[in-house]
Amino acid sequence: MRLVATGGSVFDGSKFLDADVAIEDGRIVEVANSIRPISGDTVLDCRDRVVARGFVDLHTHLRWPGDGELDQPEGISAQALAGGFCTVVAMANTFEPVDSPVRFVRAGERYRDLGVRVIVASTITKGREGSEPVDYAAMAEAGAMFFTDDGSGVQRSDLMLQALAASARYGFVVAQHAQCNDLFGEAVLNQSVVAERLGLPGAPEVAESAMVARDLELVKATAGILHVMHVSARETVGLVRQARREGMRVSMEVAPHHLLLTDEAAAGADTRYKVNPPLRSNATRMALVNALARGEFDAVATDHAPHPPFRKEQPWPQAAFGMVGIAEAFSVAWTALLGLPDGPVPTAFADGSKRLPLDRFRGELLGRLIWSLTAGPSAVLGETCTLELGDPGDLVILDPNAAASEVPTRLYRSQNSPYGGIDLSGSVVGVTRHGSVVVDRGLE
Amino acid sequence: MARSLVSVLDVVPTGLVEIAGRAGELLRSDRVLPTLTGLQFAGLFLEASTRTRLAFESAAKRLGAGFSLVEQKSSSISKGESFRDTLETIRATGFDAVIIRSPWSGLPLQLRSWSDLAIVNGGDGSREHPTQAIGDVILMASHFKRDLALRDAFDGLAVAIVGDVKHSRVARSLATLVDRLRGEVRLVGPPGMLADPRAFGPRVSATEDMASGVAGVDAVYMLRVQRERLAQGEWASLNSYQERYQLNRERLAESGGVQLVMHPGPVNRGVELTDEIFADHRFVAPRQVEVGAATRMAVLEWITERL
Repeated sequence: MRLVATGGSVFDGSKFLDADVAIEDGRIVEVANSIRPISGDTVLDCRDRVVARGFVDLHTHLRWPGDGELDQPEGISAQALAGGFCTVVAMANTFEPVDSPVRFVRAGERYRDLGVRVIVASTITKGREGSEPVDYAAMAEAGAMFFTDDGSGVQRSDLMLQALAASARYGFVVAQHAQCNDLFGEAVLNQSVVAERLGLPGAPEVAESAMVARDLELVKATAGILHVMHVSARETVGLVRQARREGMRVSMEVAPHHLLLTDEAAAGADTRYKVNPPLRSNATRMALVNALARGEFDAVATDHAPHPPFRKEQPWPQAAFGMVGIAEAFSVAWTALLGLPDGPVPTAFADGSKRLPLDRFRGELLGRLIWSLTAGPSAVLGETCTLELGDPGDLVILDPNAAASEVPTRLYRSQNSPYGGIDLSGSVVGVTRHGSVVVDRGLE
Repeated sequence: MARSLVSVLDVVPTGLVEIAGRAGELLRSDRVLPTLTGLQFAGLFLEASTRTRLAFESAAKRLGAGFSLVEQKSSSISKGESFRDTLETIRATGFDAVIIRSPWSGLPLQLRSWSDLAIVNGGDGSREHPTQAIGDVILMASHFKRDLALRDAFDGLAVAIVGDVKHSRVARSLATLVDRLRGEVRLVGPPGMLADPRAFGPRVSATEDMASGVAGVDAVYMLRVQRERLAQGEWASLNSYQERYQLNRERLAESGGVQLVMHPGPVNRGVELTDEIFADHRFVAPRQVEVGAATRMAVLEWITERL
């Protein structure tokens, strides 16, 4: 049976087109200005909507094996699909960290039948303890392509050098949670007047950027491939920009919550806003939104981190770091971008589509955001994310003009969503996976 | 929602006036009526604190209320129980209010958001100690003849807070409240022990220099020196700390018009201040204890809306 998405503006990975898309047997079979549906087709009316390839999240916590989790991988997968994501990278900081081929293969099997496609990350060091490297050759042989100790930064320069050298040899990505522990200390939020008022220890941005600066020197020494996770420091953006100019293989991601929320959210001591890296000042938040609009980030990545209440409803030092947000990631980032004042933007995306239901400025912003959720992160993984014949029938259908609304968080069993009570703009209206409609919020 | 006293600003502007008025009444009378008969207070003391516990227990009992200490192991995370569950148990047991003392900053704010119970903050980490600061402000207002009902009650008054401001909940509460009453606050201490004054209000400043910090102020508030903290910082030696920040007769004389020397107690005599200051008529720590006791009683009446 054929599925046809008609009347929408299609983002093909690099620009918007006026096109209809047909999917058959799980694959895209036609992309053309006008496709006439025939009897028996499932027709998705995409007028005033935007069609793109399903999103790719470089940073999801699937929490298996877990410890007293409320959300299982099946549930998180459904939440990811609801957010438009068809591919996620599962972080390796599970209850038993993914630090051996056996665990890597076992995790892959556990995730194989989920609704989303899962790329399993490996840790960089054994047990994520930062003292001994994993067996890079064996992990690469088992198929690992993304290595991270996420949750902690690799403190020792010799180990990071070793990981990047292996990255150059085997072609995998080393993704760093950049955090110098000695500068971070016992911090639970951003170093700011908010932290001072609460009498809680805060982390300065330099705790992140100092490690990024070191890592870039290690990339120079090894020709390894570095990905900087959840950027939350203004200086990081400039460091990575300069490194790219020098031809280094460096990429970076920003998390939706760092684009929309600030440290002021934590003023009432609600631990839902305890996240690492911490929510920053409004000045930094705006710098990150601007950097996203300029195309500095390869990816918007969620850092979706479910925690049951017994881990969050605790005093600040004990409460777990992390917040959920994969289902509303698009709307959060889009709401943040819509806060930008009109200004000159590079005309990279929006030129050729009359069906795009946005003005030129916002069209460019949307193009950049969708790119950062599709082609950008795919490139980090060494993949492409086009919308051409033969590509997987994974589509997301967006309404960028959906009125601001409070996104229901009932999808999550874990209650650590920071978005309750916040009006978000734009919505994911539908998602197809292998050509079947798996999310339908007003498609027909 | 019940009244709570979690931060000093919870009583600004009206509560402060009511509490100060009632505390004054209690200080003047020698017979206390049992205004809180039938009420039950739960004392959730998560860090050792005999003085504060006794102070609240005696305040509750003098007003005819019950006071029970709730046993709580430092952490119940391992049992898969959240702090919120603990609070719900207290509420269901039939208590009217919780008096909490916590080693963790911010916990009273969290408790308030989780429950309809009235919460009294008896000190949380290095964040706030509102009953102490309210009592101290009542004492200052009485000494300097200021009317707390006025928005700018402390206009023209300057208070220096000296010592480990960074880790002091008393300093945070006091600086915030004095600033709100339009008084000037100077935080004085070594670099690693100062706090960012912008966090507390526009009339709060910070200096490492004791002499300029106390010059011309009306009151000096000395904080207790935590010896173990000194050992961690660059102020490794107690002697070098004393040389620069100990209050002695010469420093007090140089400062000009200081009328009150205050201290939240207990004093390390010979450390943050000398024996001669301890004996000086301007040193009012014992009076702070008396006013503090009356303040806590007034606070218990205020949060249970019996005032």
